Amino acid sequence: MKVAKIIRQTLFYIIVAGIVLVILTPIYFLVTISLMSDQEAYDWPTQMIPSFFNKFKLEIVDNEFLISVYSPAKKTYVTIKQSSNFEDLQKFVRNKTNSTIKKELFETQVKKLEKIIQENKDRIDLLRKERDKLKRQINRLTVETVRLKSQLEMAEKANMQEFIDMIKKQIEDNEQEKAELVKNLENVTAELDKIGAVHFSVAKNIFDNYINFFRVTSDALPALLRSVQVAVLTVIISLSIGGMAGYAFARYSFKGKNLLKLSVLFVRMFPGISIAMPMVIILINMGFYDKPIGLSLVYSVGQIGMTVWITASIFMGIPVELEEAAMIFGTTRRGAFFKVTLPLALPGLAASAMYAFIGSWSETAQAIVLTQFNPTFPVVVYQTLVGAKGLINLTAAGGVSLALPAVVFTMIIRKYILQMWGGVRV
Amino acid sequence: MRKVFIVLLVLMVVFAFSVETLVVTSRLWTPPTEKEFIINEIIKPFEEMYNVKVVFQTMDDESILKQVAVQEQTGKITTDVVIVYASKMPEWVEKGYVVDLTPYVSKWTDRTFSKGFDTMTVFDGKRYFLPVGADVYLTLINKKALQYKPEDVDIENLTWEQLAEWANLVAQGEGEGKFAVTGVPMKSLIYQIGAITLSYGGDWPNLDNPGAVAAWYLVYKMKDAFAPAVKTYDDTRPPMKREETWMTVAHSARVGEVYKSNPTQFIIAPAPKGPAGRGSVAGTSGLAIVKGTKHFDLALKFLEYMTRPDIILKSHKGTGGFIPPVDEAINYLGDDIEDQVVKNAIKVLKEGVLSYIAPTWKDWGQVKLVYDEIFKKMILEDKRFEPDLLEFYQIKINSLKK
Repeated sequence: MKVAKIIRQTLFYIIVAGIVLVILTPIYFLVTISLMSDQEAYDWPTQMIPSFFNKFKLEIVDNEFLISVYSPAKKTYVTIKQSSNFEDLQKFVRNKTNSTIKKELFETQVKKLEKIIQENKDRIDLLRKERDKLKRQINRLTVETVRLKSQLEMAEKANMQEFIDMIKKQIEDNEQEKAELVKNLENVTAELDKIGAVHFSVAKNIFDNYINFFRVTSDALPALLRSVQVAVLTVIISLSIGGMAGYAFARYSFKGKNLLKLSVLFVRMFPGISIAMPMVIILINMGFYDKPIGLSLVYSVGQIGMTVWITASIFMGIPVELEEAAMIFGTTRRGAFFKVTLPLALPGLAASAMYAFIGSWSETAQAIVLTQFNPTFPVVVYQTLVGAKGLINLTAAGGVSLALPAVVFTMIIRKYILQMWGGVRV
Repeated sequence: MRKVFIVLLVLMVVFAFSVETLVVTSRLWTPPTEKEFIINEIIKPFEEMYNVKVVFQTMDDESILKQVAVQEQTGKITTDVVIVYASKMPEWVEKGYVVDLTPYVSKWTDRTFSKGFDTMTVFDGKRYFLPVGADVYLTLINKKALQYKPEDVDIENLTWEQLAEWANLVAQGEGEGKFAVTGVPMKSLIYQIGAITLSYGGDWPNLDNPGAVAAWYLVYKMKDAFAPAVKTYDDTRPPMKREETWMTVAHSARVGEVYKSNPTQFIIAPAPKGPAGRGSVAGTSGLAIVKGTKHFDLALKFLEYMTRPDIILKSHKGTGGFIPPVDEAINYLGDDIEDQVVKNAIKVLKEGVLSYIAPTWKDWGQVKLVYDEIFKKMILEDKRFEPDLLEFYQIKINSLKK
């Protein structure tokens, strides 16, 4: 009995932890990527935590500056740009790593570098030649070994023992020789790193992607305000119409009530995008095309059905006797509604407002069709996503910016959410 | 008198602040960084030059067409200039949504639109579109792959056979394929295999010819060279950037974007060669004026400005590796990273065996699907070269012709 209980509890907690993981992992990933530079975001395997500093290595190769950045994933420096022009280098490094190398710092490092190069010039030249030679030898051996492995496969298929042994021996020799060469290369590279390069760190602007997102998508800020406008209007329209309908469904009995109540949900069963095109023509003729009010009207159509159901169940949970008692004490029917029923229904109304807000806030498909010059924020994020295949961090910053207002709104009204399904206690 | 003065003052203020606005909707330059470049470096000088405002927005071809269709239906034209892809141009012309630009363009004597794109932009001798943002295919190699490069291979003059062998060596050495093509249906696989087909003298996108068979045989020989996650790639940029793959032959602007992201890590070269030459499918977008626009003169000035040799090169260099399809633009090429990408692309354009998407297809997306299906079945699943399958799929290709 006790064992069964332990198993049940363990299973329960595994499921809870699984659900939390499923929800949190993508959010964590999105937020982390949004704080990473282009270099970090495409460094594989991607790190779990974004860095706050970038470590750089500066060398002079062919009379040009060669700058590398440290890759925590590869545990080595990765070259990123070679140029003789500081401004070019600075711009590139900023775009790539989200760190701005100041001119004074760069000049100090260059002086330091020139000094050590001067001291070790001959040795550096020798080591570079040695490095290139080793690379060529490793390349030759690698190609030869891979070819031998293919031949080995063929020999094994044909069961030609004589060749198999010969090729195996050759592969073994090659791999041994390659291992030695790789070791030598590592030593040469390490020595070159000491006598032919300088290292320095620069702070990373952790919010650079957010700044960039709003900079490169010039219409992002107005779009954000427009989205707030659309969401608020949708909440007002759907709550006022849906709330009134919900009250009527809760308080009055009439023929076909249940069928009618069910039918308000029908509108949610059609994909919004399928009605978007005809809606464009209707909205143009109404003068509402490409305006927040037009979008909120379209969104309200779907939200009203949901609001009706939520508010009807809330109003049903509030005893009609309370209204009657208020009326006995001298208030009107309207007074009873505003002074007694509405305050009690407020938590549920807030919850349906949340649904309406989130529903309209993140909607993209219809907004693409129903706007032209005044897109909402999700449309701007979508357009960035479509165009920015090679800029995942920028897209992530847009995604987090989109989610943030909805999260804040939900946090504000979170205490009402539990009472959404008519859990009002009097 | 006082009232008249106030009215005059109001009118002056209104006129002073009301500037003519041109709406340009484009399928080109959708990445935010490219869009920012076009708005700040190309459009802003135009606005200052003519004291006008240009609203530049980007969206996909289908949405642009839908938007203008609604505007035509309701008679409220708010889009003045469009930039659409070549495969969509016939539809725009057939529906009568764009203006014939022939009489205006013939007066511009300082530029020659590359003849190669006339088949796409000129209809019945009338020029409706001005080519912009042309593209071919380029080779992109991560330097990590160099350790497997056979000694006799010259990357600038790479052949498809050499590339296939190199890609196979990489796959054998690394234990998994590192060659990227787009495995998600309806993306660019048809153009990637098209480049090989044309290099072997094939009649692309038909499958029942020796060139096509040779191309598919080469792809078959590379069956182990493709990255394991190839079916999830809808674009070769992300796997190349995160070094999951090391080699690809892809759209010049996209190759340019990856190359520019770290020029010390990648090598770019023209598309590989075959027995018939350097094959590549070429494409272009086109600028056009929407019929019924209230700002025709300004739209024409915009087109004239955008296709000026110096401006077209500036816009194309700043946005990856598109080819400026105006012959005189080449005179302005320099030696920086962007110029290298454009130079490689021009090399393919000039020397290459090129083909274009002919306006003879009912639905180009379905033709793309045929290539995706063969690749999935013959290369990824069966791993068996089946020329009969190509014959079979040719029936499907034939049924998609208008």
